[in-house]
Amino acid sequence: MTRRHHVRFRVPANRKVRVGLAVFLLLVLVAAFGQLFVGHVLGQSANRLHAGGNLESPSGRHWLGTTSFGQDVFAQLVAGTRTSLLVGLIGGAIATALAVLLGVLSGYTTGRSGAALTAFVNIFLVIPGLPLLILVASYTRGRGGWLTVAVIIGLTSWAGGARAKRAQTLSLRNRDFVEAANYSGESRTRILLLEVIPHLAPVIASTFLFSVVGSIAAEAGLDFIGAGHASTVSWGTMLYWVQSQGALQSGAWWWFLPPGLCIALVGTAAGLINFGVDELADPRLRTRKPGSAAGRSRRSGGVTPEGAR
Amino acid sequence: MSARSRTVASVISAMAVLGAGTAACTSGEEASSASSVLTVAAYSQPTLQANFNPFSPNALRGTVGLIYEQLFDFNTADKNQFMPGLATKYTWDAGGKALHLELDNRAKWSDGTALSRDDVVFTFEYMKQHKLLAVPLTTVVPEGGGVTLTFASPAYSQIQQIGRVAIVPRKLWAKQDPDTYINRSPVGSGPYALGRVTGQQVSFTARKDYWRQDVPVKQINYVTTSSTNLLAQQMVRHEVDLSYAGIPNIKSQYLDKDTAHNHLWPIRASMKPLLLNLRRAPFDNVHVRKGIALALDREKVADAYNPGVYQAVGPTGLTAQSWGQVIPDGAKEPLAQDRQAALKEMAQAGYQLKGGRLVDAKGKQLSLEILTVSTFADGMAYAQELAGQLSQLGIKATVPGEAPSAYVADEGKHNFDAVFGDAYVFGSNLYNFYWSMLSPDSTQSIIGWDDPATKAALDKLAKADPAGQTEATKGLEKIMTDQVPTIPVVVKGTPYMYSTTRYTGWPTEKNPYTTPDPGAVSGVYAEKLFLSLRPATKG
Amino acid sequence: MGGVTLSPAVSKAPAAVRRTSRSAVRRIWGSVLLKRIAFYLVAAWAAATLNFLLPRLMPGDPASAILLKMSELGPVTPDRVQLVHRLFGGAHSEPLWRQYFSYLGGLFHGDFGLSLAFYPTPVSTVVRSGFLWSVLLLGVSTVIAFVLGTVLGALAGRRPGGWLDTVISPLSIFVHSLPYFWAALILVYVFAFRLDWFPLSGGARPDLAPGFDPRFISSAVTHALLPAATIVLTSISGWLIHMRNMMASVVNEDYVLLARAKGLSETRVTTAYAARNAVLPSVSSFAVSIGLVVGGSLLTEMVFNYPGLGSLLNQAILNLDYPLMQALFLVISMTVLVANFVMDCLYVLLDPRTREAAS
Repeated sequence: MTRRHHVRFRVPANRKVRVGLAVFLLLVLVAAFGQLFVGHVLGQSANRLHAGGNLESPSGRHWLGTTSFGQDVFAQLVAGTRTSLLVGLIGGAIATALAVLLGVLSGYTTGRSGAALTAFVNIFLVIPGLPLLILVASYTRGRGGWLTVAVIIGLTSWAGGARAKRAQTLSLRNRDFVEAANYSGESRTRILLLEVIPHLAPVIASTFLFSVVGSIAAEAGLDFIGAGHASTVSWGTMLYWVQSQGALQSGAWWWFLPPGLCIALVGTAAGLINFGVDELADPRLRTRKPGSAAGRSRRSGGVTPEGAR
Repeated sequence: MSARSRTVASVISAMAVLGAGTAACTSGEEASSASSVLTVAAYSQPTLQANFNPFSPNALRGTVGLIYEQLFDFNTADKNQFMPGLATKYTWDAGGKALHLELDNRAKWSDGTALSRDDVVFTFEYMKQHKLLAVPLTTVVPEGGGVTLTFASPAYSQIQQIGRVAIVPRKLWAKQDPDTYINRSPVGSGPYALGRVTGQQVSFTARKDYWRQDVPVKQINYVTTSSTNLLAQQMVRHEVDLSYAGIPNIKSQYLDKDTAHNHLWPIRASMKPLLLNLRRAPFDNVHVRKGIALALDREKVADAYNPGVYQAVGPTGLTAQSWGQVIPDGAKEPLAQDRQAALKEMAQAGYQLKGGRLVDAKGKQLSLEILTVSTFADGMAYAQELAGQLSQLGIKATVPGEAPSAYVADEGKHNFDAVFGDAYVFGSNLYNFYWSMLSPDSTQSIIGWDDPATKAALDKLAKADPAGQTEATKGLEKIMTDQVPTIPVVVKGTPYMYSTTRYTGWPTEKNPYTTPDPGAVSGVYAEKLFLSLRPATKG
Repeated sequence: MGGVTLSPAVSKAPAAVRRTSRSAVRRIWGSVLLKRIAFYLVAAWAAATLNFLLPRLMPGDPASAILLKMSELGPVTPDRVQLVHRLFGGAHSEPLWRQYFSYLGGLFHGDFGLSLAFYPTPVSTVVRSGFLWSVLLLGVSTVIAFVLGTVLGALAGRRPGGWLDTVISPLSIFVHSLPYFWAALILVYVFAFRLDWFPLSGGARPDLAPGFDPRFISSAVTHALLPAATIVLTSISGWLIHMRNMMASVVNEDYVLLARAKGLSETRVTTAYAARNAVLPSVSSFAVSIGLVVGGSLLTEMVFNYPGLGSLLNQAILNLDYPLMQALFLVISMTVLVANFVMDCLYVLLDPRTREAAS
């Protein structure tokens, strides 16, 4: 379930890219060192019950207040950041790897096997991801913890990315440099690895980014309906408790808002970074002004794989 | 809905309906009908499928009690008083091998025909034929103004199950398969007839010709609520009159919102022990179990979620309020937390305290995982409190949470150290309470306790006549206190919540004329409750 | 198409042209259509097969779940325990291929077996009870989101960097990143709980039976507004961003510049030239997007306790009702396939190359 909506803004937006990268960096830092800080500086932990009173509003002791069980929301948010990012990274890496493998192969291979691969990708594309994910997750029943969840997400969410890769590969296949390599008798594997994939790097980066975001969202969705691994603290499980404990009705905005905003923040940051990826993919975009000639010849790339045949 | 909100909603919906090309229509009847309808949050699932087969585990609540009637029951909330249903009294004979039930001869089916002894005989034979009866029934024959049942062995202990049999008419059921019949248009003898079934509600309408009395509540709606969060909101809005789900923070989220009308009476009808997996070392060691039992502060566990609903319980698992005369002295009160005594027991099992950790001879710390359904807020809170207290003793206690499905599977396969989720219903006779907890034949007994002495004690209690039951229970109580096969922690409270905005006359702690435990929505309990309500006077 | 044979009588020359063009369209249409039908049949078969294999790769034990439920109601006899294990034990004694064929055969007759959560109601009855709710909710909100998103995207993309673009585009990235269920919770809280404008949950007033009754319809619409708003709000951005980008790259294409140079009105240039071409990729990327929207709407249904497939799926998960789960997965997949097929047909109709090839 990649959230691939190809967010591409052609307005020069380096500041936005920096903001996006900064957000990601911050989250990674929080994931890596946040728990140390929370544990040693604030003296809180994500799982401790009655660390404070029930549903206390934010204070110096509890930066984001407490849950209805008296757990520290800030400590949970920090612990959740780690889980959610890890699920995102692992799920995203698996999905991207599969997307590159199947996309490039199906785009580069000609003849029957190529058609079969393409059909395979397309079939997975039209099978809705979340129901499949829920189905598989409910069979594993939370065994293996968040890692299983991440792997399942990765295995069920590569199709969108693969389609984009396939389209890109199709357009590269007939480019001069690939044809030249073909004529000089290089092996197909070599061409794929050395000529095709490097040219796909920006698109792969963008796929990865959105796979990470998609995996985080998918994990949150699974946790929210109770089909994930609910005893690990993640943004999704936080939202599960928020809903089941009626945090909103109790007016506990400090418990309700942070996990949802964090998920939205990651998505937004990915959208922002994607500007930069777009510009890398097509250097002409960098100098592009509305109405200039450079923008006109921009190929539509991964956006129109089926339509641009 | 407030007047303003209703206007907004109906304007918007009218616009939308007009847009869809259909004639719009204002919904003015809502207010007029809502005042007399009693709404009960009876189903904890988002959608319903019709099923009014009283023998089906998925029969919609209300099938028994509102439509079909049971023979009799015992009021758990009031010292197990006899509550008549279709039967007005019962008499034992032949040392518990024969039971005569006197029937209320006024009873009529909703099609106007009389409910005869023959229907009762049929129902018992039908259940026996389809293996639905967990009672050693041999024959059932009409006799006098009722029927007489005979059993292969004394059936004293099964009196409540016999009473809870819902009687169905022979003429309509003789050819039905209890496993597959859905029974969309039930003909019963109860005070209500089936109204309309939609995906989210079953409505029951009062029968004008009900045989026992005039039915005060003309319509009862049993509605669905999938989340406790949603239920809390509906209750605050007085959209629901009666419910019994564990909503979070009942006091602040419900009672305090309208102290004049919102009420809570926690019904304590079952016991929740800490269950250890006795097939796993070191929990097969009685000293380890005793050590754990002594390490707990039960009051604190009871108050870990919705304080006041659960209650600490003594080592026999029985509450002194209802079973005071049965419990031997010294075991009436909850076991007090006693760190020194706990450590002494642990020492006998070979565990020494070293650096705050209880370790065995090899230096391995005693560890204990309390398996819990991670999506149950109350369960998690109790389990974490337990784990916290055990950690203080030096045990490495953790609470791994699991999805409900995984939990059920692991429990079934004995794949756990400890669980704190199952509760055992006291019932009117303690045989079922101890049997379901300790007998290897019970599906609810998951600890793996297979002990000849327990079996003998259970057999003794099963055959004991009412006068001898106190004596016969002693053996089981001794096993509980000496062997600690399960560690009784709390009496589980069902938060029975009701609103007096539309109806009054609800059972209360002072006037416990019925038990509003899950029975608040079915069985003799529900019937008695709904027949006792009165419309609230407008004030 | 019946008009083609009648038209020559009206005016000869143009009619002949029209006839060739129409038959050419029909021919292309036909071959494209056949290919797509073949593809979707294969996809449907693949989904069905996946559905068959998954539970066999990961066997569950619904029997113990049912027994637990039964024992809560009263003691269960050992005979009963055996019966339940026999009914639900999932003992697959037949060879796999035979199971597979009887499974496929069952599908053709709409036979998914009996639901466990609602035993003994057949799964097909259960699924049918939720199907229309979901399809109407999802269908209407997807169409609204698509149309609104595309129109807004076209407006924003017409002048990249314009005020509309600067406001809408970053905002929509943010909205797009909101989790569906989170947005749903906020809407419930604000509009149902606080303001009391809409019902809290459900599909219609519970005492009304579904049917062509104006009271029911108006109640159903009132209940559907908040869930629909959630789906529209969170899915609109996808279409918007997509359309905006395509529009931004199309507005400078030669044919658009040419149209403008010809002195055509700005509205006509935007709608007939730029937007018409820009919308094509949106239509073709429908497959990716609809899958996301379906997933999101399932979660939304759960928040609103909406009596559709999402709530049923939730129930199936809680009750370990694998037959129901599988049937739901299959029905949802098939619905998405049909939606995609419709969009494919639309694409062929909209694609100017189909017209070009015809003339």
